[in-house]
Amino acid sequence: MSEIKDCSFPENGLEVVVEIKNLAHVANAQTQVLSIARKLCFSEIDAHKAATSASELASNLVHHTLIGGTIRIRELRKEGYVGIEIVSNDSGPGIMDVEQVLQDGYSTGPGLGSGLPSIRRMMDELEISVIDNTNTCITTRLWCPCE
Amino acid sequence: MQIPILKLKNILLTSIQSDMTDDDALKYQSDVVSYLEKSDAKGLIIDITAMDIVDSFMARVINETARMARLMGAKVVLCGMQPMVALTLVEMGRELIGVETALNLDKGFDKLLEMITEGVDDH
Repeated sequence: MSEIKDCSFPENGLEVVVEIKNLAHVANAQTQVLSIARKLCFSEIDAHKAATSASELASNLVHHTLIGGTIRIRELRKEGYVGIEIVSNDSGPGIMDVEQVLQDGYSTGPGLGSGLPSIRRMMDELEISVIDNTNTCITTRLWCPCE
Repeated sequence: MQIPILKLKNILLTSIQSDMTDDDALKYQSDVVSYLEKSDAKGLIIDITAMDIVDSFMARVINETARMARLMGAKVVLCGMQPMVALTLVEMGRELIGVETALNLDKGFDKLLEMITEGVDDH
């Protein structure tokens, strides 16, 4: 697990925001993550882990929110590492039990109930913040060593 | 988006893509089962060569389709899984795909014919 403290978003770093309203937009989020991860010299497997995680977050936005939300993909830096950050943001209805959604097999929608637990296994960091059930923000990061 | 279902001898061939919506998935599944009923097809090939990313939603669609087809008495083979998809599915930590698999369409076709003639239980 990496330290979050000393990381920064470089000036002119890569950044894309993808609006997610339906499942057709999910593929867009996947493509954007793949392309950014490849530009940042992530290995193919790591690029696919990040893209699959973005895909899980995006399809959660379609299946579990009232009006969809956004996926923001950003380049991150910290000493010796380059990172990719994927942030899913929506305006409700929030998550009833944050501990429970991180358990395998728990789902209130059409998924397998393995989306968030899979992200936790594939990525280095995962944070979930729910404010008043009107602002849900899920942040996940993957790091890759670089010179 | 309509997903074509092709019949080749007694086998149904389908190829699915990542940009599938809930409605597409439902339509695809009902097309597959009704085609299985109408035709005398004994097997179904689900080809995922075009899928660079398989998330848990798509994995569920594939699993469900295979189970539906099996309930209709057909043998099912999944083929064309990209190496990166296999790696991430394992990394995701679940046996998301509970289906017989083959490297590509060619091998999938052979495997399915074998399963049909030998009456192998593919579950």
